[in-house]
Amino acid sequence: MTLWQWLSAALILFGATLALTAAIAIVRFPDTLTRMHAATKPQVVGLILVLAGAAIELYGHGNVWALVLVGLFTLLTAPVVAHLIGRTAYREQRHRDGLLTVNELGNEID
Amino acid sequence: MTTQRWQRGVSREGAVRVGVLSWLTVVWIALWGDLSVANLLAGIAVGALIMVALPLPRVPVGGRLHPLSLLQLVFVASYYAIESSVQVAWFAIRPAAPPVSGVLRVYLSTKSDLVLVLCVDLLNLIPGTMVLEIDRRRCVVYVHVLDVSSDEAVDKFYRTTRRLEKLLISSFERHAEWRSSATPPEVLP
Repeated sequence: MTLWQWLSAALILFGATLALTAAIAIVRFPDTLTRMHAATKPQVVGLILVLAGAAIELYGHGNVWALVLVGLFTLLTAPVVAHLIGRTAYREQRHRDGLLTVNELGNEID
Repeated sequence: MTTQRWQRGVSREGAVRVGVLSWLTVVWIALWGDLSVANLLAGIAVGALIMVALPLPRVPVGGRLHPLSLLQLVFVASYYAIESSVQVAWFAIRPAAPPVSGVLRVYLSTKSDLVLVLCVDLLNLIPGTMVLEIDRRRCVVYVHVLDVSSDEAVDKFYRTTRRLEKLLISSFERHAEWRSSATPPEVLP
């Protein structure tokens, strides 16, 4: 295998590992807000690493640019999804005691 | 003076339109994966059609882009994202209780909605922090932080946020160059 193939394999394996730990975190973490951290962000980094590995493997092929676009659009949309779901989850669960040790938002939502 | 300012605004708006059309054309060519004259012309046509059919409101921008600061921002954000991903992965698989999380308040000193949104996007993209509420008037964001189990972790969060905020300000709206006339009109809730 060439150096590029090793790099591609390492990137894809690392990205897949991050996605796996995101799934494990969804099972292990206690509430929606902490689950959202794992579900939206290590998974985004993992996806981008997998896309980078696939782009290296497909070097020279025209579809590499579609992979670049997928990564860019994921970067643009994932934070909005995280924010909206987190915001909704917080408004629904904020009265459950014991989940948030520090809460500076408190009752400022009218 | 008024004529010069008006002309500068018009040229900037024209540059924005050309930039949007160029970007749509680039996306079209990238999706097809083939750089040819036919694809270029089709991309320009489809991009122009999209710009006419779906016009976007004009985003008031008072500052100027600084590419070096933007490049540094990209590198720092990427480093934080990978580092925090590994940390969240460790929280997921370590044989211990789940992390102690909380909601912290962060006062930002950004001036425009665009930079505020970019800062919120960055906070949401970095694992371990998630913005729950944005107070647009006071420029305050409330962030759910995955790890507030120690003062060191809280201080690290504030340090990271301050650094991202400084990089955003130096990239898009340095104080010396800010023109307050570009402030958007107040939107009633």
